[in-house]
Amino acid sequence: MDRDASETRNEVQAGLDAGEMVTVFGRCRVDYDGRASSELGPGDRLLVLKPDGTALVHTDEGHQPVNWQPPGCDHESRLTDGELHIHSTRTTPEETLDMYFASVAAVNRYAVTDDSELSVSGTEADLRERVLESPSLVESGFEPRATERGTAAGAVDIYGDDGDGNAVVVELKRRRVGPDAVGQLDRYVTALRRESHDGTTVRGILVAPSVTEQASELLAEQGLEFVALEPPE
Amino acid sequence: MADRTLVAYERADGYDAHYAHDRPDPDRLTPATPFGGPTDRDLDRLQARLDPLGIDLTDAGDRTAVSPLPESTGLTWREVVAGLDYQTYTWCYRIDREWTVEQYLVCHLGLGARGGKERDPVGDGVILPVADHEREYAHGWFEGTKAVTADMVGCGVFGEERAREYMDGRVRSFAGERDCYPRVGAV
Repeated sequence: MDRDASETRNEVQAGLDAGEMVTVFGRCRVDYDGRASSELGPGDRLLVLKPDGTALVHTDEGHQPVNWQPPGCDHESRLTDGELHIHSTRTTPEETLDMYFASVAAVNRYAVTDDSELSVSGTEADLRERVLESPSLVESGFEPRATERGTAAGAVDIYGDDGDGNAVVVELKRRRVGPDAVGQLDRYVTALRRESHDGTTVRGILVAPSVTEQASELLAEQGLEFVALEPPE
Repeated sequence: MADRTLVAYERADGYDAHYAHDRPDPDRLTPATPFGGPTDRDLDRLQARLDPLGIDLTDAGDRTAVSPLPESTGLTWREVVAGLDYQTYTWCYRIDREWTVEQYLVCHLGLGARGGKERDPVGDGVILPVADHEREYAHGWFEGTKAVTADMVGCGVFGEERAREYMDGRVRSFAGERDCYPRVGAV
């Protein structure tokens, strides 16, 4: 059932003023103007306005919004030509997103707190988190000691020890890699060997979904290792 | 992971070059959050779970996507490009005074890891401007181009210097009307 536009406008604005998460479902059109411009004709959509200034416009398909604004935007609820009008602005770069609702089926306001635990199988978890959570994915006995440890050749992804007390440098890549990534890992291993004054053996392990044949040959040639691991879906 | 990115911020006296361990989201680099803001709260949650293991996620001391301490300051854009370590970095961002972020793929022309001569990776390449939608494609395209070029060197089609010119030309051709850096003829 459609709602009165004026009441709806007031309710949305009250939610925005209170710093709440506000959702609006209804038939709307969307205009974007900024680095480019676009117009989205009328359709049934879900609008999510987050307290951090994010705006997302979702249709009935896909996991990505069809239009969106990043955190840091200002949202305002208006009544324009009898329609609920949500105006979202970003200053740098200057961008505006305007949503005009011909009809509104539902408005919801939520005073949001979210203290839930991280799920490493979620879409936000990345390869590093996966390895840190489960170091045995690299090899049994591997113990991470630091992330982004600095070396003379730059910061390594993960630095740790293996079960035999050797130092281990892990370089992570999200995608299939070629010889250049092997060369990069070799630079870090070489730098750490140079820094090591107690004769500790330094091993280098490349973790990626896959490597090219040439990369595989170079790994063997340089005494480096490879572990196949996919980033979380 | 580990798409190391050099982020060059335009200031009144030139560019400040900052290190980012992984490619930052350009939309999160704003006047209010110049270095990408605090890292995600997920990181805090993860740290809490890793504390018992003695793992410090903040070993490098940074809690932002981009390290707040500049690597160097007061550079011209030409100096930023000339001083870039093309083997270490995957991306380079150029942020102007209006906070527009230009993204460049760092194309390392060195063939040291592919049987060629070892060269200093600093300044050894060309940076290719890419739009959001072509970022992954451009990355794979350059990897493929470099692999084929290295094969051609191996087969004696041309020498290493000619191979470098060829790759440089292919990158500039990919860019079309857009400017690659260093510009052609720049020293």
